[in-house]
Amino acid sequence: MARFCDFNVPYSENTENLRQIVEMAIKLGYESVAFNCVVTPGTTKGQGAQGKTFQQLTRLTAIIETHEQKYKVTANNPTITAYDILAVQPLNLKMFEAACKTLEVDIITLDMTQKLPFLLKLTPIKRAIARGAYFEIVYSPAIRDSTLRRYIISNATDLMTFCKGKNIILSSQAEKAIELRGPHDVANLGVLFGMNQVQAKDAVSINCRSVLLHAETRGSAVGVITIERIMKQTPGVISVERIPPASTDKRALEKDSGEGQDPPGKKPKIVALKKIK
Amino acid sequence: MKRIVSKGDAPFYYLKVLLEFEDKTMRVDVLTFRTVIMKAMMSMYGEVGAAIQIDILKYEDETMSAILRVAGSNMVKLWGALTMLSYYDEKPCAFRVHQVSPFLMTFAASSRQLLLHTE
Repeated sequence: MARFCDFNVPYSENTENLRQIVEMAIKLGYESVAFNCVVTPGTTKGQGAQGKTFQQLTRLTAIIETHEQKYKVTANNPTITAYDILAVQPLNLKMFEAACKTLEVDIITLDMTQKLPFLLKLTPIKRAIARGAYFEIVYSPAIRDSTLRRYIISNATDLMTFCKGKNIILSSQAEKAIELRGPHDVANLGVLFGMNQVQAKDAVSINCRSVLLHAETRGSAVGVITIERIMKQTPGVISVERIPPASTDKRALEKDSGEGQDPPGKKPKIVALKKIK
Repeated sequence: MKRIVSKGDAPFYYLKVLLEFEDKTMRVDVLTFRTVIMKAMMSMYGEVGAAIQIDILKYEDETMSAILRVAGSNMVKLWGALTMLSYYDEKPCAFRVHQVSPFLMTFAASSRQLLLHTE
């Protein structure tokens, strides 16, 4: 059986709190979490570590509202390639359609704790499912407050009528360890939102794995070819660096690999970009 | 040998649950425990939800764990309500559902509570 994942643990500077959340996640039976860093393109950074048995990933959530912000969300952006998973949160219908149809993202998340700013439509959602993007439903706000719960349940059932339980991931967004729930409990919540048993269980396990695999294809040409540059740094130690993917366009990739644009051995740096208004 | 084939929903479902407070020293008795469950059902499903019959078959004060019995058709509702509970008396708490089964016998052992040794 696929491992249980929780792809939305909000990243904060409070490491003690984060540690408690991770410990609770391990106790409840999760095998993978992603620390989420929410930005309006572009600001700051986040960090995660790679555990041995317990997988810790990094995730970037970009809130997009304007076309300018949308264009920052490309595979070329070194800030984005530094993260394992890329999610977008569109704030209006135009951006939602763009996220579903054109943007190369793994997760499309909507703020379900309030009335959605636009009506969901079938066509973009169908397109997103065909392209392998996943929709996210967060459950911790529903645990925190009953008003938020009402909105989340109504929005989630709304979304469910369009995607019929497919391509959904359930994640926590837990700010405290006590707000985290076990994977089977979360799957049951999925049943309440209108999925069937199998889909609900997939939403916390297999679908999360698919998100990860989708994220990997994002860094390759048409999801088939990846290029890794092998170089010697110090005698005896060989370091492998993945070339920041240009796009799904092969020609662009070839051009990129031709020129050594990065100094060897350097990790993609997270650059604070200018904030756009 | 007689073969028994189960068709459709089981008449009853059993849940092994554990109430956990953020403040680890908190202890509640069985009546309070019942109230917590009722409150959870009430806040999620209103009066109709609170009217659902839930039996506490066994309760341990020490660990605040209990075995609940509920009609099979109401199992999802009860489980959802327990999951959504976050506060009792302004104190943050959570229900941990350890096992869910249509047969009481299965609670004799649980592979999920085997402790893994992580270094």
